[in-house]
Amino acid sequence: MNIRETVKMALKQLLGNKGRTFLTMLGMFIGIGSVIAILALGTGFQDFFKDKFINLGLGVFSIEAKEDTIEYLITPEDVQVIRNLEEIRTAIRGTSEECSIRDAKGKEFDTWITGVEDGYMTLIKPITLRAGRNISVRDQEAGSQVLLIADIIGKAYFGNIPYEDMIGNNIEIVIEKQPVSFQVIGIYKTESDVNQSQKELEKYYGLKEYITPFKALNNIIGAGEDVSMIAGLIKDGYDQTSVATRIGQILNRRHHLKDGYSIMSVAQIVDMVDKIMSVLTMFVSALASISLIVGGVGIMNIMLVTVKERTREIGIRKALGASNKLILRQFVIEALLITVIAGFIGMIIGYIGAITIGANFGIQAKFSSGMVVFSTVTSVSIGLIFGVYPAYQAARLDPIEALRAD
Amino acid sequence: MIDIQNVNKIYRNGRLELQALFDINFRVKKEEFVSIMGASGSGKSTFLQILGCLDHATSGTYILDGINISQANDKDFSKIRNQKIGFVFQAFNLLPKLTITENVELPMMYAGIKPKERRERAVDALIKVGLGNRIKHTPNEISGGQRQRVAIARALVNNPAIILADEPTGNLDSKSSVEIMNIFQGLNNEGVTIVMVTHEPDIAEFTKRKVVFRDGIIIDDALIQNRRGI
Repeated sequence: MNIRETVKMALKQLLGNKGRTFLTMLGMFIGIGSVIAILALGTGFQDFFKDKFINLGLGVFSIEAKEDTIEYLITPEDVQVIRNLEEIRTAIRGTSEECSIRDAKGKEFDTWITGVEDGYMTLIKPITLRAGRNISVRDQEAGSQVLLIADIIGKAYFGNIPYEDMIGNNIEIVIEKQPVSFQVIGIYKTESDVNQSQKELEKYYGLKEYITPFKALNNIIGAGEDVSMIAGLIKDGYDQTSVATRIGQILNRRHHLKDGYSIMSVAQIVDMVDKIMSVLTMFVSALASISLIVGGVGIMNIMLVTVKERTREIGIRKALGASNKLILRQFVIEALLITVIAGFIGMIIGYIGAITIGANFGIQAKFSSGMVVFSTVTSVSIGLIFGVYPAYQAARLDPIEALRAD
Repeated sequence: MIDIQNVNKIYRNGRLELQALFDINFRVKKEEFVSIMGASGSGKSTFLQILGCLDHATSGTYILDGINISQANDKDFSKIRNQKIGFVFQAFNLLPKLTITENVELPMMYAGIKPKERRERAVDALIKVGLGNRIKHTPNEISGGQRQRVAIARALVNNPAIILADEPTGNLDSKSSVEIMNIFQGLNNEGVTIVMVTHEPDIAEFTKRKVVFRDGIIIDDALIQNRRGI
């Protein structure tokens, strides 16, 4: 009797008891299905997150002083030192200030205005202009009160007119209770949907999408040259995390501090998210694996019941010449069929589940051949681990005793 | 065909020892038809289990069709049961979910015979016992007498050296019992060797030789004078 015939016989047996077979498989469906869904969603989320940050620009870093006191603040000389480093493409000062924007009807909306040095809009956070021009070096040196705004804010403020027509107009921004007029010189593209009602668009006033020269904003708020935050770009081909760490060390040394600055680089964030997601995925998968073990115990339980119920059949088969080995094989293959079929269905459930859940959160679930290998190996292992014991019980039955069973 | 010498069977259950068979000597020649009789507890069932290679004797030698069974292990046993012995049980012992043809195919399946040949031989065997028109039925769809005929077909299908029947008419009415015994007689006339346990004297009358067990020994072994049937 070959394996094919044994499989056929086992299939017949399982189909002869569909309800029980289904219930036996249920634990496996859930186990394999949830592990696959979690892995696929985890990978999908990781990729989604990475894409977002890589768009922001790998190589970008920012440094923030941990205290706002004179010992900690970053001086223009510090910035120059960093800028002169071999690995650094650029480093610039930036400052942000709470303010409010006053629309044509005099209504005010709270928001933030950002002042940046030259290089920010070209290197660190490159923008695509819809109309107008970028902030020039001359704007920077003169501290001109010019403004770059996002398309969505332009639409909210000026209404549905062509972007070109917005250029040159003034926007009134209230900073430290003083209204200041800024001239719009450029409108840049965002991913937001600009085709919304005026009421909807007003919500976007709060975005941090008002950019002015560093010197202009510094003059208005009367701040000194020192800042609490700088941003920069590391050249390609250097290990970004270690360069960022080195910059921190340089600043600490110059300011005689032990650990005065927090440093964030995009590479670091991506690494961190990768790590967190891996650990999280492993953890949740481990939890889901418990259901696999529970499912396996369920299978063992049912197989033991089956052996008990079919004691007489086993006796008959033995009397007719089935060896212990063949009986063992028959029951192991039955268990394997249950787990492998259940694993396969679980895989499909996981696949559909991950796509459905992913679609609801805007994440594209990612599947790999590794997941198929995982499901197959897990299914086969569970079938073997939990199937062998009942099969062994069946194989070692004494034919005389077995023939006496009801 | 069967040569049994000085066979003892002792059951051990913890410290308890129970001797079921005492120094049995028993021979069956080819084409014999033997009935074994005896009250329950006489040792006749134990003896049949040893004959059928379902159990080992505690001591003594057993030679079946030239093979020394005394030295066989469990694996050899299943092969011997498959190739040399055809069982017919009181309770028929057919698998209810299989058709009768599939039931008859089982011993051939374990013998490694290809499906097509199996099917043909199973149908032939069923035709031989008069069930050629029932081949697609399951055991539950036929009568008790018919079921026992399926069991006989199954016992025959691997051309065994001997057929061992354990109370084959015990679950049948008298009409079916006679039918079954007639089939056995017909097979025996064709040269099939049969050993049958029964407790019904009138059924034993269908055989050629009667062996009586009591308390683990053979107390009588004689040829049947006025055979029934034939």
